[in-house]
Amino acid sequence: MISETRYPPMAIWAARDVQRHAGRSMLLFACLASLVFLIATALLFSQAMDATWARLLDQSPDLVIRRIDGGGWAPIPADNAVALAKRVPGVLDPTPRLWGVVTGPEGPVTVMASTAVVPESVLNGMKIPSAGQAVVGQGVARALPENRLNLGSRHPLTVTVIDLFPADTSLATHDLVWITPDDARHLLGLAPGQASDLAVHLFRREEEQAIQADLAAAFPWPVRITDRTASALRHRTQAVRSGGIAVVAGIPALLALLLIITGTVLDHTGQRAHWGLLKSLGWTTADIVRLQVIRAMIVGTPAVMLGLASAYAAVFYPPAAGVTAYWITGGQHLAALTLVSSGAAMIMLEIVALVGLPFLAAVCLTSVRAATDAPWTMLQADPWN
Amino acid sequence: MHTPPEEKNHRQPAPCRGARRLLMVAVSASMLLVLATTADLLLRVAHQDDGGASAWMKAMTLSAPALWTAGSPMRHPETVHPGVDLRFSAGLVTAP
Repeated sequence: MISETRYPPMAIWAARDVQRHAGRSMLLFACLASLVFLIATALLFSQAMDATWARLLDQSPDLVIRRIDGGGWAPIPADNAVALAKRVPGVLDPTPRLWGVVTGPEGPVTVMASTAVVPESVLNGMKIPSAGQAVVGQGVARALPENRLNLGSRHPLTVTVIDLFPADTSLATHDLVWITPDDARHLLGLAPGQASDLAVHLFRREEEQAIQADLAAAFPWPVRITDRTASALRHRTQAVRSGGIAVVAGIPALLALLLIITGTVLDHTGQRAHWGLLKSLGWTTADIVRLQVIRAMIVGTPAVMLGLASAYAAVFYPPAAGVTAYWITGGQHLAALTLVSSGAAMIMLEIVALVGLPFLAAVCLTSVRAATDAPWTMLQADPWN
Repeated sequence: MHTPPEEKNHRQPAPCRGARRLLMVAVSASMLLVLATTADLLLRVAHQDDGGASAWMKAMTLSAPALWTAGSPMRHPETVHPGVDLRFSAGLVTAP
C-alpha cells in the first residue's frame, strides 16, 4: 500500500481556501506567471547575448596594430611589421591581415583574405577559393545573380562564388567575402608585400594595456592600437542596455504586480469578518497570517516556477527561441545563444526575489494589519452586519 | 470495525481530499519545474556548440561578430579613428 504524504493541517486548510476562491486564485496565478515570464525572458536574453558575444570575442586577436599617417589609415609592410612586433617581449604570433570594407550588391561587405592556412577541422569540407573565386557569407549570398559577385572599390573585381559559409557560422561570417590574398590586394589597392594591419596575440592577456606603449615604440611609423577589452566592453554595454530597455518595456507587467497586490489587500479586507469568526473560535493572529502566507505560496510558487521555466525555454529552446529573438531584437535570424549556468541561475534567483518577496511581503503585512484587531471589531466588518 | 487511532488521525474528511490533491499538485509541479530546469541547465552547459562561429573568428582573425553593418565601429573596432577628445561632456551622449 502506498503511504500518502502527510501535509500540515494548516496547509490543507489553506488549499481549501484557494479552492473556495478558485477564480481569484487562477487570476493571481496567471498574473504572477506572466509577470515572471516577461521579466525573466528579457533578462535571460540579454545575459545570453552578452555570453555569446564574450565567447566570440575571446577568439579575436588581443591587439590590432594599424599604421596611420596624415591621410588616415595606411598599409603596413607585412614582413617588416611582423619582424618588429616579434622583438617586443610577450607578443605571440603576429599575423598580418588583408581585409577591407568594399561595396557589395546590397551594401558594404567585409572582404577578408587569409594569409595563414585554415585548418581542415574548421573548413569541414568547404572549398578554398583560388584566383577569381570567393566563399561568401549567407548575407552576401542572398543577392547574387548566377554566382557572380561584383565588388566595388578602388579597383573593382568580379569573382565567382564557389561556396557559402555555413548558416551556423553566420554570427561571424554573415557579411564576409573570403578571397585570395592577390585578389584582396588588387581590390584594396595594396602593393605586394603589404597588409592592412597586424593582429597580435599576447602571452599574458593582462598585459593588454601595458604592452601597447612598447609596441607603438617598436615601429618606425605612427600606429594606432586597438585592444580586445575595449571592444568587449562596448558589446557588453550594448547587451546590458538592450536588457534594460526590455525590462523598461515590461513596466506594464510591473503595474500588473501592483494590481495583484492591491487585489490581495482588497481580498483581505473582505475577509475580516471571516477572520474575526476564526479568532472567536480560538485562532491567534499568527495562525491567520500563517494561513494567508501558505495560501499565497500554494498559488505563487508554481506560478513563479512556471514563469521561469517558460522564459528559460523561450530563450534557449530553438523553436521558441526564434520567436523570442524576433520579439526582442526584431531580427529574423536566430543565433545559437550561449548559456552560462551560473549567470542564468543567478538571474532566476534575482527574479524570484524581485517578484516573490514583494508579493509575500504584501500578503504578510496586509494580513497582520487586518488580523490584529479584536474579534468583535472584525466581526462587525461583515457586510450583512 | 475498529480503526487504529493513528490511521484515524491520517484520514481526511471528504471535503479535504480535493484540497490535499491541490496541495500535492502545487508541490510536485513546482519541484518538477525546478528539477527539469536545473537538469537542462547543467546538461546544456556541458554540450554547447556555436556551430563553428568561434573557429571562423579565430581562423580569419576577425575582431568582432557580424551583428553590425560592415564598416561600422562595432563590426570593425580597429577602424575607429583616433579623435582628440574635446567633447563638452563625455558622458552626456551615452546617457539614456
